[in-house]
Amino acid sequence: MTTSGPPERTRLWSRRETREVFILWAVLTVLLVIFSMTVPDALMGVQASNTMTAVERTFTILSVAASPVAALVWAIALYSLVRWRRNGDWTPADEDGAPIRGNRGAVALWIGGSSALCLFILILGLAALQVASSPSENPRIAPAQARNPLVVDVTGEQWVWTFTYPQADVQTDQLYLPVNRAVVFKVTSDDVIHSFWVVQMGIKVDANPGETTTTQTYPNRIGVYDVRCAELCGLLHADMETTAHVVKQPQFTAWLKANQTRSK
Amino acid sequence: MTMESTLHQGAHPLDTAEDLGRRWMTGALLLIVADASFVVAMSFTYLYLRGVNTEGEFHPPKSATASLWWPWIVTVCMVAGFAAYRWGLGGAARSLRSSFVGSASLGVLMMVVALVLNILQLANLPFKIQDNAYSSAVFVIAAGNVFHLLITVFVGIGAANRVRRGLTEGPQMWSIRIVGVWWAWVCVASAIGALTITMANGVTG
Amino acid sequence: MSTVDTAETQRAAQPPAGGLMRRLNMGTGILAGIVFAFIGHWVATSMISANPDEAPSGVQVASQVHIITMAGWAIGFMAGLGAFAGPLRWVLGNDITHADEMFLAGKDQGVGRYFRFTTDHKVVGIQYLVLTMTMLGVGGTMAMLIRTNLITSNSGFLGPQTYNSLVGLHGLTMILATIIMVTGPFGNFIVPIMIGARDMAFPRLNALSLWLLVAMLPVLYSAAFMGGIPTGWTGYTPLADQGPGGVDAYLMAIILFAISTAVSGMNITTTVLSMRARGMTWNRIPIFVYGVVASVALAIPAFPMFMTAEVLLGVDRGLGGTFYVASGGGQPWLYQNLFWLMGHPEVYVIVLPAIAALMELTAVFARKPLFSFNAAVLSIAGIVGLSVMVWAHHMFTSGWATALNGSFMLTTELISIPTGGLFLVIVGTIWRGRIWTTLPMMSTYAMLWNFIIGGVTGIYLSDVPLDYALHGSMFVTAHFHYTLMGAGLTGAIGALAYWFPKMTGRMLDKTLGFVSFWLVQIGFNVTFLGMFMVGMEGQPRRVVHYDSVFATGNFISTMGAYVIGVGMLVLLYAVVSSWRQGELAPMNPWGAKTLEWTVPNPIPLENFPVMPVVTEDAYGYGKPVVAQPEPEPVPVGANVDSGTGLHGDAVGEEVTRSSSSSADRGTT
Repeated sequence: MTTSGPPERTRLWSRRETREVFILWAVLTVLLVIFSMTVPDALMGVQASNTMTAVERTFTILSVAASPVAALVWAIALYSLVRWRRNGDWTPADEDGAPIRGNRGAVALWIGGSSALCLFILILGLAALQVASSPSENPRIAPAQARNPLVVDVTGEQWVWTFTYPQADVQTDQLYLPVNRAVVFKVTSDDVIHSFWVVQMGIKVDANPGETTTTQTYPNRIGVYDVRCAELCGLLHADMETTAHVVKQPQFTAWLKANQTRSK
Repeated sequence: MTMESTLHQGAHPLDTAEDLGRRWMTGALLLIVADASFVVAMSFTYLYLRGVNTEGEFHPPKSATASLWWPWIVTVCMVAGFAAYRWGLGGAARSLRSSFVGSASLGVLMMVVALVLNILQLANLPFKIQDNAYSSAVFVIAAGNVFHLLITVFVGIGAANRVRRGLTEGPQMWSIRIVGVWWAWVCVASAIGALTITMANGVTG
Repeated sequence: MSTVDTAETQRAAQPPAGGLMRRLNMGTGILAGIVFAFIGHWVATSMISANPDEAPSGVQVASQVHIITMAGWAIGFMAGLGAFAGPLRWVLGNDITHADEMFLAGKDQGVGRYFRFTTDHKVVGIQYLVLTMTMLGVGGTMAMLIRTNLITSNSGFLGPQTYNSLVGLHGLTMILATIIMVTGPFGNFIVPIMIGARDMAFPRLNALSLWLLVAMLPVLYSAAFMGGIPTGWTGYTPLADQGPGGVDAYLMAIILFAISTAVSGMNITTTVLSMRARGMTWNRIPIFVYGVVASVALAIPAFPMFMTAEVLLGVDRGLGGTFYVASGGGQPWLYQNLFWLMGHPEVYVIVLPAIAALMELTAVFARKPLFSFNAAVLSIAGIVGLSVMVWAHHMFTSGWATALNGSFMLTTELISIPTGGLFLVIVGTIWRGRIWTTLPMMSTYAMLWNFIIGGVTGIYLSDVPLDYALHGSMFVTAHFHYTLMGAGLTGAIGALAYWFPKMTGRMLDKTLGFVSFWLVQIGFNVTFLGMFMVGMEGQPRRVVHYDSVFATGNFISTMGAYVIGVGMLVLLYAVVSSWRQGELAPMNPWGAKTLEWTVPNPIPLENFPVMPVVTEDAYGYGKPVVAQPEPEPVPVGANVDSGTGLHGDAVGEEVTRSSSSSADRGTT
């Protein structure tokens, strides 16, 4: 790599294109940040658990962090199309562009910047992963009384979900959960691989034959949510969905009781 | 790109035998990398399944275990064949055509013996491929070795025949050298397979 | 297609003594393939699986029959084509003569050489191009059917069985086509000329890798008549264990493809390692060559893993093995590991050569040297190195080794640094260039837009908790289409437009090219932004119908897909019509400085009348203008080539001393 030499470098900030690209970059960044702060949240919709809240927050933060990078690339691209575009076809007599074969400063800045961003999202991701792995132990979101999690055994088979509440000896095909209590799903499959996905709670784990996988969350919003299968599992994969009802604790207890008696 | 056109014949040489030899050696080594990836993947399969031991069914305690004699005897046969071939290569370098033909034929013969033993091994395994993951893996590792042996016998016969007909004299030596490299690799691969079975055999479940 | 014909030469001096080998072609291949397939079928039905009822449990007799029949077809086809003549004659010590080699290279055979086991790398490149375009066309048609079915929430256009099969076939077709779409046509046609070689290192293996793919096609599409591939292109077990006969076609097609890829990867790598022109040192090799070598070299260890996975699947289905059957101690996670050990490097196998092609042509159309060649090479190397350590990010939600999710997130996000390096190189090259907005250059701009979106959404998916929410949704589908299609296919189209004049001798129609470019790019962004939308709303992948809340996004996607379809048809028309009767191309229409633009159109059989000697890299644009010496026609006389007699009239072409702005407008 050959640097372009000191005179070139000192002139960099006084060049017209540098200033104009900088302004374009700033404008695009602002637009992208506005986009990042509004659109993802709106699309991802209801946050039925603290997991989903964290997911949407991470999505927004990552989008904001990526905005200046995308804006820079797009600003230079757009600018070059307007300012440096050649009129008509090239002919052998035409002058070439500046013979810039590299610029150590630019490369170092770029690599340094992307490494810093990478480190940032990595730390962010690891912290979020920590929370996602044990939501009930996060004192900020989960009250102490929710430490004792509800256990639900989830079994996928072609093409229905079955939920078993081992603590209460109840089996059902619709998921009922009490609000504000941590829940642990132990997921397995009777035949092929399925993937247990409670959409609005932001959790998903595969149901593997012969294995039990675990996921957990902390539902904190009353409502009716979607349970879907997220792994192609054969003919009626699209129909392998059911609903998750998050209800108040007393209603949940009553529901458990009702279903217990029915099953006996 | 600036080119200088050069007019004399030197700028337009035909590929020399050494060029061809280097090129083929590079290619053969790359193919060996691809093949090694396959062998390692099989070894990984065996060890992974054994490590996970899904539902305790990888190799249930009372099910039959493959004898370790077969894979190692096959490997020893192959190594002996390779040694004979290697010895012949030394002769070929000194233009001892008949010495090479003799020892390469001996090497091919050893490989045929290994092939027969390998097929006998497959026929005499004390379990069926359907029994459990252990039996499936042992079958496939042994069958992979059969495939290697078939190719080696093929190129071994070729090497002997070509030396016999005087097609590999002097700078053309590279073709039989490459056969030697392949030969060494199949011995290593067979040893990896045998080692894989040995490492896990009997201590499973 | 008269244009790529090699220079006219007089008939070879020797009589055509090649015997049987010279009478073989695609027709005899098909014939022998069918015969062998019948033999295989007969053997399988009458001898091995005599009585289906007595078969041990887990053995699917139909699978045995399918696999053996298809293997019979492939072996027969290759034998009938003459692919095994070389090795057999080697063993017999009856080496192929020089006249035979010339015949195999397609000397004096006109169009017929495209239907033979022809070894000339330019013929193979064209064959690859046609093959790739055919596969992309088939896969694209399937995409249209899929999107049509999803136009409303429950259109009923396709049944679930048909839909699932189409999704699998579309995915597999497109993955296989995109893997070969740059390294096949351009890696074979352009790279040897670019490095100043007469042909590939192993011309016969080159033909072998191409014809294996041709043999693969009937195998792959026979799946459509055997219940399809209702498993998605990933073919996850145990769903694949219980799948219909189409899964046998799937696994056989992949085994054939993996062999072809290994052979072609080893061939291209060896060519670049050992056949460069004199003076073509490592820092003078054009960046495209780096991209191609990175791609094919990465495929060498990666695809055998895939092949292993499919061999074991075949054993499971045909012989009742239990590799993936949990009740027999097998483990579906094994399949996923083997699959993604190939599957993630494969993404870079697709994208790297496409982006490298765009880098190459960006320098040409910005009329500037490539910005920081070292950064470009290091970025490619970094991506290759990291790509083999990230496979489990496809398995974050699988439950396999959740303790390792953090480390796989680390390696995955580290890839964003070298990927950013690729952007730096392109953006830096554009900076203060003199941008000539041809179709190839517009592809670079489209890639800058698409690949940023594809890359950023990739970062979301690498974040484990986010992946828990987004995995298996349409978001993932949109993400990888943005990388593989938005960057990969766009790059391949740019490369096609860029090298079209050299490969066909004619210019690609400019107007039609731009029409198709805008249709495809606008349609593409509409389609997959719509798909991001429904993915974030929570629509799973691979569903034949969906909740009505996703209706808007899906409708948008379908409309966009139709626009892509129209755009691709326009492109196809442009390619076919320009190929047949386009404006004749000058030798160097773009004023580029790589070696392939120094050979005449049509390119003579062994490319270079005089072997080039390279004295500087290919990016010497914008040198201070000094008085240019007139290009000196160098008389290349009879003394050049007494030994081979290969060059015929091409010897009369002049070789110019070309430097920056004196690039020749052509000698044809």
